[in-house]
Amino acid sequence: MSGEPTDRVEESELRALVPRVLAGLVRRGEDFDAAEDALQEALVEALRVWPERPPQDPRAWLSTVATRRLIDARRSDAARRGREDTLHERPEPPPTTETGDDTLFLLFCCCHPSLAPASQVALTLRAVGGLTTREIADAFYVPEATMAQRSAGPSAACAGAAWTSPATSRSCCASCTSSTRPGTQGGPTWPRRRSGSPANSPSPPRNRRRGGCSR
Amino acid sequence: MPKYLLLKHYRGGPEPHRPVPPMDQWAPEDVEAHIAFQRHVAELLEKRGEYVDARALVPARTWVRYGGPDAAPVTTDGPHPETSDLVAGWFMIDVESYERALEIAAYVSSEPGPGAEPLYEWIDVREVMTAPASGV
Repeated sequence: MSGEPTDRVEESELRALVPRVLAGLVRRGEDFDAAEDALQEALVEALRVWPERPPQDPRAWLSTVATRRLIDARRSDAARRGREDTLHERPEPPPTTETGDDTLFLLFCCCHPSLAPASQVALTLRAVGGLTTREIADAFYVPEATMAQRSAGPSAACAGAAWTSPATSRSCCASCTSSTRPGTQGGPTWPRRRSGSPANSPSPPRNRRRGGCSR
Repeated sequence: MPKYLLLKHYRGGPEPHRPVPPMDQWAPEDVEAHIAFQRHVAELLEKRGEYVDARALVPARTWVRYGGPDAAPVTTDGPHPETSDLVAGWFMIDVESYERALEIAAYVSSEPGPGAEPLYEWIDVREVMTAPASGV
């Protein structure tokens, strides 16, 4: 890859576009993690291509390239599993596409009620605010690895769930709400040792997973 | 999210619930299990997004103070009264509530001691002071 184009493509301009493009992809029904990955690849491509061929509409360009990456990923996935017929279907574009600001929708996703408040904040700052995990960790005076765990929210809590509105997000996870918040809610969230348990093999933690939604 | 320091002590604090000899008199496998448990706690905390820091301190201690103008710092390394507190280490956590901090502290206290039995160690739970919000 060429190493010099960053000075010609405004990086801040790119960063500002990220939440909106990501929101569009997620709104359309794409898997959150896959959409983020595809968008990252689109950004790399943008840094490579834009200095010589600047796009007329950067946001649309990123969205299109990310979509192609998503399709590529899905195709190879389908081929590998031999399930092309089912996995090739594109999600139906919702009737309300391109009306209003999708960033707000993304915000609702990040503030999913099944997530702990700390995760909601971390996720919002990353996905909506466009900050890096490192930056968020520094702001909260915690190690980067700790913050990375907090912002692993949507994949763990609601992998595969289609987010169409805050209301349906809530209902899709109602069954796991009580067990996904660390600390005060729900059942036992911290393993307890019984007297006489083998000391050199601490009992595996119960309820370690943040989320209970299965595909 | 408040941060708490969970302090472990070589000595000091309330009357021990289960008196045990100093760790250098434990069986090696008990020491190993004890330390393995501390690592296990740190890993759990990290997975839950609550970990900030964990350290152990050696028992040696030196008190130092300003010696005054044109004087060397004044130091003393003992003897200290046997009753004085001596911190052995800590976990620093970033959690949702005070109750959660107590829950974690109690779990730390269940760490294995001699004979693989829980140590019932008293854990000193201290909240980290935050700067008052400015411009409110």
